[in-house]
Amino acid sequence: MSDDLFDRAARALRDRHDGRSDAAVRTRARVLAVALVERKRRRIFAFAIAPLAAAFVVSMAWAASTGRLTGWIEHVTALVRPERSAQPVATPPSALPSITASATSSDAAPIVEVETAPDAGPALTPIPRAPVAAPSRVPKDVATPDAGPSEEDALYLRAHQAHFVAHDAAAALRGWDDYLRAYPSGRFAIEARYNRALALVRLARYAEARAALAPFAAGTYGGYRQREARALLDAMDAGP
Amino acid sequence: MVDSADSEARLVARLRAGNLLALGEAYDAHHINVRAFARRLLGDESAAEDLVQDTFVALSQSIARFRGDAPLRSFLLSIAANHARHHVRSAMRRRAAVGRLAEEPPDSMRSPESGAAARQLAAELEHALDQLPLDQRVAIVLCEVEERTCAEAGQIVGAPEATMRTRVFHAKRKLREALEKKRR
Repeated sequence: MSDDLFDRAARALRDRHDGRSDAAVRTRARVLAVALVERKRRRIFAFAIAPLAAAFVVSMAWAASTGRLTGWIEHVTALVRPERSAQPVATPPSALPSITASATSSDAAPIVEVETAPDAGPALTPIPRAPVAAPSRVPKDVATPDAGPSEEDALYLRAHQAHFVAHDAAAALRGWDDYLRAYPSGRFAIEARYNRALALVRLARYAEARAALAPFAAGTYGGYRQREARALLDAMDAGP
Repeated sequence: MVDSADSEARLVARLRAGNLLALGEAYDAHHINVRAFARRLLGDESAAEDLVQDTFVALSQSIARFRGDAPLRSFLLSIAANHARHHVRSAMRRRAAVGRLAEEPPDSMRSPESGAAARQLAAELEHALDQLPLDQRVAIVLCEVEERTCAEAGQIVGAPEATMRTRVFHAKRKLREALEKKRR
């Protein structure tokens, strides 16, 4: 009896809906319109967004491999929040650990990877001048008279003057340390690290100089100064 | 038969190429079947129309998965069954609201001699279907209402035939109880 009732109900449901509808034409138009929009969206993605995304990924990978990614991030962060970018520079110098204060002990140096190697190896005869010409990249906006230099540029310029104009290795080292302390991933961080290594060579602080040059020789920053760094390391290893 | 299979293969190839005219042709060929299934499954005209639209829009994106070992119509029903969950809920809500407003149907609805009696019976089954889980609901519509074999229904929903039999068995038991309760 109940099976009969169920069967009748199922038959009634089947007969009630035969699939025809006055809305069929409107639904057809909606289906085609939505499909058209979807197709356009996919084409836009395929022809425009996908290549842009691929270019972005490749450039990010390149930046990461050459150590510039963090610099870019900091630069963008500084643009978005300019008041924060000036904060490290505003810190009184006396409050910061000083490289020059630890001129005789290399393990106290505060600068990241270039300072990690402990003092080791025999004392070498000081090399009077670094054999490789140091990079002389000067911030462009410093040269513009009516636009004052940014804090980052000013720090870099001070170190640059001491290094390349005054030829004062100790002052240059202080300058590069100041810059790297304030902007460890700044726009000129790679150049500053290399110049700092040169200053260490000139000051005959070979253990620190080796540690500072090692990443360049190993290609950590791509091919930047790799050949020169290797030549310097070889020269120091050869000794007197 | 061969011609029909050939024309369907050509239609599928054009769908895969993103041909909008082919999508229109697929709609013209199969919308009645899909809509009938949607109406029987959901028991609500508006929700069923939305499900028909979703099914054919999804067809243009899902056609890459179509292997051709079943008719395109079955593939469309499988898309509809997969998209039904959201629409079942909205149909149930609408039906519950309408049901509250129509607690006492007019006398003509109770007349056993008229077609209204069949409509009433169908409406009772639709309400009873709301008590079932979606997989049992799909199974009962495919196997009992649309009179497909459990093997064919299993192919549509991607489940073994034995599973479909089990679903139909449990669903029928629950529906019988619900219909009898309503009649008491």
